Amino acid sequence: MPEFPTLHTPRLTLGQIEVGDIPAIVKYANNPNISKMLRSVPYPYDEDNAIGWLNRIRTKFEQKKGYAFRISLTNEDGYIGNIGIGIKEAHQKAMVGYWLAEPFWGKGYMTEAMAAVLKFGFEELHLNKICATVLADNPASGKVMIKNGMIKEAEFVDDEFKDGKFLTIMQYRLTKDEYKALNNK
Amino acid sequence: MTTFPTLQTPRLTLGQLEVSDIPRIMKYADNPNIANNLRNLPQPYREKDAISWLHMARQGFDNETVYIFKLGLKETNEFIGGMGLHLKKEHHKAEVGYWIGEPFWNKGYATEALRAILKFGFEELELNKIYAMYYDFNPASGRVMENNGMIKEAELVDDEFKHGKFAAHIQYRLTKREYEHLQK
Repeated sequence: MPEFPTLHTPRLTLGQIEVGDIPAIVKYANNPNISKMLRSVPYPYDEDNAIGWLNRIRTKFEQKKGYAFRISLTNEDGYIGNIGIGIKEAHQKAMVGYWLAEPFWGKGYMTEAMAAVLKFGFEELHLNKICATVLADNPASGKVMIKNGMIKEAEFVDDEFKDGKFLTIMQYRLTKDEYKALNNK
Repeated sequence: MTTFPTLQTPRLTLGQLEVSDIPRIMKYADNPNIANNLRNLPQPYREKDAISWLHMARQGFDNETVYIFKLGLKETNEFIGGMGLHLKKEHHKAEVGYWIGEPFWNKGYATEALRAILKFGFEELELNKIYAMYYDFNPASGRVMENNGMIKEAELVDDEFKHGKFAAHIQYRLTKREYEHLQK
């Protein structure tokens, strides 16, 4: 079993999600302001959901198909959110997904975490493409991608149906060449 | 639906794939010029692949998840290609996929068939969205979508690694509202 990587940003530490994080995950995920932004987080959200999720991400890590990082403020251990990367090895690409607990919104934390995950994906995992999707009515999340130089490549209109509404989904990407160009400036 | 639907276009009849189509399916599908343009058409294409395709078509119809139509020439009902609607029911949408035997390329058959499939998808299946994808190196397929008023919604760069190269996927869509607007 390979060791789970730890990533550092100016203000954050990203590492493996632990069983001890479950109470914080449940507390923060059980929030309609979170679930309405995400396709994979139901509301209400309880301990069973968190266990199911932890099981899925641990399995993916063992199969080298993904890394789900907990996010905490450096020097504080509290769980404030997560960011994960799911890999499609055959196409050398990956999809990033994330959410941040509401008390920590608006401080640029996720932009920082995304930068670290992009670096990890391109420089350590040697991926060719990393993409992320965001609901059209969640521009704050889109900003995380734009600030990291990601390029909008799709606007999937009425792509999913959730809670009686059709959702439009935007997709942003960065290819390895685009990433290199950004870092050679 | 208990009987597989039959759709008519000016030059084609769209209906159920039949066992008697298997020889022509094998003849036309066993062609790298077709396989290159599709996500996973086996090459060489053998009888077992045709049987498996027929099985998927029959099963998909039974559980109302996939409608794969034979494209047959109107006069003879000779198989010239296939077009399928793959449903994602929970999202009220479907993806269209198609291929045409090489001798029948550039005659507008796919455009004609897609028009009938869009009508079927929106008016009979009451879908909210129908979309289709092609590889950027196959713009002829994109024209089939454009000719039917579909709208480009994605250009997914380096989306697949295929034959040692990265290929982009282009996606077109039509929503029910956009479809209804086109009919006016």
